[in-house]
Amino acid sequence: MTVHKGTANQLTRVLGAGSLVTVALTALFGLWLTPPDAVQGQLVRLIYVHPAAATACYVGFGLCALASLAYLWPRTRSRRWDRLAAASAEVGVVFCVITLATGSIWGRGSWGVWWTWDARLTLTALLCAVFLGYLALRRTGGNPESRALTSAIVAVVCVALVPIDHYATSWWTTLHQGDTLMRANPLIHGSQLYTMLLSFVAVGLVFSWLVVHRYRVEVLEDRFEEEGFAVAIAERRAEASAAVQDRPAESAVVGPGPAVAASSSSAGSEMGRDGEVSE
Amino acid sequence: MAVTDSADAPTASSSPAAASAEASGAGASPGAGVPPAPRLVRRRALLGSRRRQVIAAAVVAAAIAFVVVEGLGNATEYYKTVPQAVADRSSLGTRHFRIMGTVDDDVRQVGNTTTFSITYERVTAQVVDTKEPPQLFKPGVPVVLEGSWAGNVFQSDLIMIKHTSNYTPPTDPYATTQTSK
Repeated sequence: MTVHKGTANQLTRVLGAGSLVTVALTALFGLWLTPPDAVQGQLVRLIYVHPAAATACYVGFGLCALASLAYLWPRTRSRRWDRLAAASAEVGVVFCVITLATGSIWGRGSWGVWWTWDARLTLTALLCAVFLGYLALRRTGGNPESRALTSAIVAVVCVALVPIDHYATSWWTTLHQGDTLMRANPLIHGSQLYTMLLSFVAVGLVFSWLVVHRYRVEVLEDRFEEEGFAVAIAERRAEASAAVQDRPAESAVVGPGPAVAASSSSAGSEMGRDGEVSE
Repeated sequence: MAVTDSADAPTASSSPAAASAEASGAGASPGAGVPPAPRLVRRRALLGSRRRQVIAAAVVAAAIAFVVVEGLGNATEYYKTVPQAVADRSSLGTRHFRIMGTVDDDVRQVGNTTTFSITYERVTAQVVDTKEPPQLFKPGVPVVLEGSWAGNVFQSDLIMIKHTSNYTPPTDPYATTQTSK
């Protein structure tokens, strides 16, 4: 049986090393070298995790939608776009959960509550639930092509929530504060600003590292399915061949060739049934 | 790389080929040594059955419905500012709602009760709160309060700090040029 290499190569090693260095630097600056906030005190240090994680979540879902569009477009339809959509959505959900968790911790300290149903928080929770549903859809089995097609359509529809979530603080009254960076004059300065930007680089590298690995896991899983099927056929054939050899009288009359072929055919259809059942 | 689920893989005596070999008394035949065919395990079979798909879809749909109903029902107007709440006082009655304003300098705490006033665009409302205020609560901080009108006083049961998008060190020169959201 073929033994595949892991999911690492030179690219992921560079991304991994870059991630480690930038995450360490972000932790160093974020926890020790930057000053506390005039109002929030030490709670401000969560700004070096939470916004970057939220951005990675948006990028993950956006990448999933773009890859899904590429899959839906007949000229560019390829299994690789479906894999990229799956990988980026999964990593996006991970960062969405990190966003919700760090936001909740921050909210408890600064607002005084773990959770409140304002538009930004609600839409982020909804986004997480919707893309968890998307990931569940991808695990429903069935024909890979039809599954990829359905998943792509769902991803393109669901990603509409991303801009609504992002602009929720501008469109409605919310407890969540508005943008700090995305304005002409950012409302954060000096070492706090630079550390926040560094956190975006760190999380971006971690995100890329995870997506590349997850994409390659998808490739390996596809090979696993294909090779597992081929191996199962070969072993069923071996079984059928052994059964024929157990019946010397019949094999003397009929001969091994056609009997094996007939048994293989029957075994193949049986395995097909097994495959359907397990699916 | 394994393609079988060892827990589900049939034993040699339970496989059809081996069973037929045993039944015919050919236990020592060459076929008896052939390992049974493995069951093909599909990687995406987690939600493979129709029943599991229905359950998963129901759970996701229920989660989404809960979030939409609970959250977006009042998300578009999360709070009323003090002038809006004062203007709507009669129509609000004793209904529970949220009000937003900046804490004035008249904070008093007696036992578990905190009394203070909040102001927004020069309109002020008196507040009585019976829960412990959050750690960042102090005069000059914008707050969102949950509660209801009790006459002309807002009876609060939850104080939430509404901090702005500004982040400044205690001695930051930019601090004087901040603008809130």
